[in-house]
Amino acid sequence: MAITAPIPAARGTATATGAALRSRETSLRLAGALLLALATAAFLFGAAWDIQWHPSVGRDRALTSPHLLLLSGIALSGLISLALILLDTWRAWRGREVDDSNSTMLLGVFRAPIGLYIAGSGALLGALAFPLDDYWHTLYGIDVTLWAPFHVMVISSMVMVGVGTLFAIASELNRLAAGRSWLIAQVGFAVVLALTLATLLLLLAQADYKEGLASIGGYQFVLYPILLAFALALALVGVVRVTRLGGAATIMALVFLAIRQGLYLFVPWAMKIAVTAEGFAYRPNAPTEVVTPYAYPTAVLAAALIVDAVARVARRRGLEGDRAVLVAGVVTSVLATFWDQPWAHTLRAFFYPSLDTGATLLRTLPFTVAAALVGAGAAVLLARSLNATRQ
Amino acid sequence: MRTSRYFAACAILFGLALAGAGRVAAQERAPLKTIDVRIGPYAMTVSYYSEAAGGRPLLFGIAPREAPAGTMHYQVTAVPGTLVNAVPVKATLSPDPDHAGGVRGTVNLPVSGQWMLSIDVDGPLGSSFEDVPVLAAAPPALPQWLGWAIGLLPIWAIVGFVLAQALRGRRAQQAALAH
Repeated sequence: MAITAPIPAARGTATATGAALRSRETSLRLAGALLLALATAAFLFGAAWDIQWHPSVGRDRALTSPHLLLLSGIALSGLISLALILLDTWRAWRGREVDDSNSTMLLGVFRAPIGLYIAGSGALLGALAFPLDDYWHTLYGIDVTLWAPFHVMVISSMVMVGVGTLFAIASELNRLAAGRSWLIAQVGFAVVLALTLATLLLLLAQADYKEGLASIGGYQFVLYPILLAFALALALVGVVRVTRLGGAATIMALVFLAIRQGLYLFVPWAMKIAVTAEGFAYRPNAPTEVVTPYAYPTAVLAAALIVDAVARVARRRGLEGDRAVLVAGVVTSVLATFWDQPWAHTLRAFFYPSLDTGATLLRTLPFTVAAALVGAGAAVLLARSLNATRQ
Repeated sequence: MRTSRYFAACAILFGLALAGAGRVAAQERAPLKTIDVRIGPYAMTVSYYSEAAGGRPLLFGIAPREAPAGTMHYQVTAVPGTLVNAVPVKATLSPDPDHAGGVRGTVNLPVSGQWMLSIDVDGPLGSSFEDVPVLAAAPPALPQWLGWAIGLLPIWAIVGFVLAQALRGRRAQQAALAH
């Protein structure tokens, strides 16, 4: 038997107040994600500057100028995560804005979106990695490769901060109905993904150097296309599968290219200012190119436009959009490796003058395709877990 | 209980303050090692107030063995030995109030191994320079595999978390379908 009763006016008011509080909570969390993105950007610019500083000037102490910038990015991400977790915990104690539906309990005390715990843990690992990196340099010298354990730890810690921020935005995205906040969250997701991709691709710079050429049982191949195909497929497929916003991949690519351009402007300027201020001399064989943005791909925009177009056409025709995006992501990521070949110049000019770059790229193709497939697979898993996150 | 916690906190803060003051006090103590060197016309003593170790600052003093007739100017740079992968590091110097014409200095030795303290002196008898060897001790080595196991922690954490969340999402989806 159905029981119907008029809704009391007071209950309607309470619902409206609850919605307003939830909206305020969403705005707070999106603002928090923005702050985390800014901290990640500080780290990214500091790290790109540091990658230039090492071969150009050398590391004469732990707290060099680029280190101060990248460390401030790590410290800010940790402090922002902590502040947001404490704020949400306090709000949960105080009232109705934060509860089981939009937050995760940790250690029986803290209550916050799960992404903030991930971002905070990433910042903590980054802070731990720095003294370990200093120790590694003490043992093995100032020119240890970018692919040394604690360089990888510092960079992947900040990738973890980026992933945490993506989860924090996704949890809002999955609860929001279409509207202004929804659109902001969608665009915010694409922007943070571009920042996270740029942070991950800091590691790509080493592939333009001696270590970029590998060999298994005499079978020579280059690492740059493999790493690029993996990262591009991951980002392109991931952004479309999570946001469902037309043009999301293109927004991400444009932000990525803006970061690339920003680094081209910032790094030489910062080098000049700091070298003059501290009275340093440039080392012999200092790189002439700006190492990090030089390694960043430019084909990302063309690839993103194709992936967005494929997603749009597939959805319009009622086809299985996700599968079409997956195929487009893999194909464009592999094709991008034929366009972006900074390694071809540096490897031939400085390390392997007789290297046949065309033949080496073709020999690398099976690995490149495999890496793109793994990247797309990882994107599916990432999208699945992001789409399932509400707390 | 509360009082004991208060005292414990004070003790920790006091300990930290002592550790910080340790470096400052180091140069007030007797030197750990002294070396007599001749830098051109000047007979000098170089004193080390801290152990030379990679990744740590070296505290030192340079003083003429006899009071100079005029003002002395110094410039000190730590220059890495041929097998040390590092760049020259400039020392920061300040006048030594205990030794006329002397200076005290700090220089960071970022990498362990053989270094040279390159001392440039300019005084009433002209200018000259000399290299004084310093061996920066290495910290205990961490095996490469352990370094990588620690270094890849964030990647394991990201992969584990994403997999766990994806599984959780699938279970929730299956539960919703079952209903």
